[in-house]
Amino acid sequence: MQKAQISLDLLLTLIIAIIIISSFNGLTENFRIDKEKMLVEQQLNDITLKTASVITSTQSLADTNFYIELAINKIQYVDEKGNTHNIYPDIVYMPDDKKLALSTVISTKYGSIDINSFAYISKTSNTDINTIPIRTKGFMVIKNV
Amino acid sequence: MYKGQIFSTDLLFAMVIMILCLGTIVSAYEFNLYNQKQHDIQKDLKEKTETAIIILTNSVANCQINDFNGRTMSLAYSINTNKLTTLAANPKALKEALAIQDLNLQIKLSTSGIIINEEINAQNIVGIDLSIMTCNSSATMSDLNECINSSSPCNNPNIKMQTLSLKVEK
Repeated sequence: MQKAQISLDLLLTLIIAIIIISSFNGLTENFRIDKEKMLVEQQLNDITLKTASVITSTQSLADTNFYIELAINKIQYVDEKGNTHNIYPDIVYMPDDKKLALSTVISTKYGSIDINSFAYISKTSNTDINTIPIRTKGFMVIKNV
Repeated sequence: MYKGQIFSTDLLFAMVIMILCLGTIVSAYEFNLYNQKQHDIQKDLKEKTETAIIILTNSVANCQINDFNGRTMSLAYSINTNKLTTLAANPKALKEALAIQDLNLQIKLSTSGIIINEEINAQNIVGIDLSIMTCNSSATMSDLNECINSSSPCNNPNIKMQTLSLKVEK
């Protein structure tokens, strides 16, 4: 070993350290995306279930002239740059399947991810569901027609 | 240690300890995720069950009695046992009406017995017991008045107080 010489051991240690640190980075990013996906999924599920419950419960109001404005919460998530996004979910009622489907798209380092949630609903034929005001006013209208 | 040797016992020990630590962290994370998922499933089931029992006792199978003026009165939190027995003949349609077609269902009345008995043996089960009034299709306003005004539990053959047990499973 000469003065000021870098040893093979040190070089190998550095290389291994760099490999381990970069693999940790990848793992952390995957964990972060998983966590964000789960949080968004949970927010969607909460909204879907709450909305489906309200629509289904309107059966007991079927003999009244009800008009409900149901507030829909925004979905919140943090992207890879640390920016917080607040977006309204897309809501679609599928009468044939008796399902209410909610979806949203989140952007990650590895591209956009679609996240969906659905719940069964049951309503009388007189109950009308209007999801159009959600994008602009943040609520949906459920009424007897 | 020989010249050019890469793997020393120290390095091996260090790697083993590091892998163990990493394994512990990953399994703790998985465990956490699993717990959260289970909690979410239970929460969803509870909300669906509460909605189903409200619809069953307030709309789908509730008592409807004509008042003294001939108007039909829809009674909240009640069950018409004749109506429920008819509905129970087609559990699929009943579950669709209650918006729980993806779940298994059991309905039991404390006196009348089991109405629907689908197999329930999994982990995720939610049950609700509700004290309700039950009537049959022959119940009249006079029967209802008699029960409202009786000081002791009502002995009317057409109207009873029973416990409705509704259990769902995912």
